[in-house]
Amino acid sequence: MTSTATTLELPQSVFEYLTQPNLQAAVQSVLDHGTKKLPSGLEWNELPQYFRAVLAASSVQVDWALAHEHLWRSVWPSLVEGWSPASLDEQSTRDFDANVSVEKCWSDEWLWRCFTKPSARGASTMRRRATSPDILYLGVSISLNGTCVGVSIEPSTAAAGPDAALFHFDDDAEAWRSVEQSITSQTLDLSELQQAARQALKWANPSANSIK
Amino acid sequence: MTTTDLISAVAPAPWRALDSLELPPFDAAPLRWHGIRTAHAALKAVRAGDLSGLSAGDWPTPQQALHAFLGAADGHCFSVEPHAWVDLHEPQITKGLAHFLNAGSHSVRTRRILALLQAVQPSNSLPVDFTPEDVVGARAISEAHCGAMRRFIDVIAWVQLRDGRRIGTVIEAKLGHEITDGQLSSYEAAAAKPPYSLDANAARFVIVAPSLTDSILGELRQHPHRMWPTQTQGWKFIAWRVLLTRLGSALAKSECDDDDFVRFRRTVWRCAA
Repeated sequence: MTSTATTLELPQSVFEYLTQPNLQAAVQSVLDHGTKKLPSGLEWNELPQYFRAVLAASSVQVDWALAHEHLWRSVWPSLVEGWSPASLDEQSTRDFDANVSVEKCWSDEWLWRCFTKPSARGASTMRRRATSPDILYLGVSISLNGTCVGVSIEPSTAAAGPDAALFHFDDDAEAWRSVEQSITSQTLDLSELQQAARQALKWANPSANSIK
Repeated sequence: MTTTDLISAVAPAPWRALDSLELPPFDAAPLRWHGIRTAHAALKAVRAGDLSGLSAGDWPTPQQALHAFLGAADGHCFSVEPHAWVDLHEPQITKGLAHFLNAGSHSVRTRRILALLQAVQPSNSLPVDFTPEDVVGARAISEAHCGAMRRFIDVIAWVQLRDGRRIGTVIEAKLGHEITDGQLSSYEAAAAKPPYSLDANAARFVIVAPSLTDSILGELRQHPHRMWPTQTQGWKFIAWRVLLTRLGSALAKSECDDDDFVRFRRTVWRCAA
């Protein structure tokens, strides 16, 4: 795996957001307003405080994406035998539906990295051309429900998946996802997520060992 | 290769210049301030019974506003429109409340009255430890006779437990009228005796009104708890909007609400909250 560390420290902003419902409502309210308009009824003397609230909400959103990226590196390998890692540009421009941005990470509560290999099946789906490679998606998620890892291979991953004791198929994400672990501390214990990731990689490429 | 690509190839990306910028530590205080400020705006609108005046950008729906800032979306009567053609008066509200509390099977009636008993408690939980299985009967009466000449309890509701105790509440519903002299004392006396016989250790007496007026405050001070043994008895004030919100939440949790009851409560909110 990429890291031997079995714990991860969440950013203070993300931890407070996840554990305080009043902050969640406030962050969502500020982000909904955006930076181009103000809430109705704001007074001049409230302006500095509101601008600081915008800064704090933006911090939560960016730290959220950073926490996902950190979690991804702590759980998955950057190289997987038999698969070629896709660049960020490729993920954004090709038909992966897995572009990476702060905004997408915030709204999806997922961060995915893609790996490709020439298609052995020569098959095509409605979505992809016959020449499209197979794509391996490896993801992590942090949400109010907890943390989990996800894995998917295109084409067709719903028929059979990784260890059923650890994973279930999520129709929304079109991926196998592990059982969520609730967040009770700023320090996340990664051992179960890392175990699930190892199982998922065995399923993705049974004949190979994952490498860093 | 585009011009941008060419520039990037020979010069570092502009965003890298921000690497050296020192960021302030995360401070949640302004967010909490914003939350409180917006919650106050929501509460003002909720008290007025109309969220339509809120900025649409603040909360996409009234339900979301209630959920975000009041934690009371489930079962809340704002999920439906009120009967706009009717202005309910006190007797209609109390009769309607008793009607819907008594409606349905024993199980539904029991759960609805337990929801009410829960909603009138400050802790939002039942005053004594028992389960719905311990309940052998449940009833709500509006305009309940209390023995005194021309005096009626607005609503009295109770559950009868297997061991014989009656856990109940007495509600004096106000919608602008003053409380008359001796009214509350006679209700207290009546509730302790047959045919009501509420358990003295668990009875709850509440005045429900749109807001706490000087007149109600004066009554509360005069009627601390004359004949009921503990400090927790005595008359307490509860606003209609609080009672309706708590009741909606408790009904939703015990899965005994229905569309007619929700719409009735929404209409009461429009008229009384």
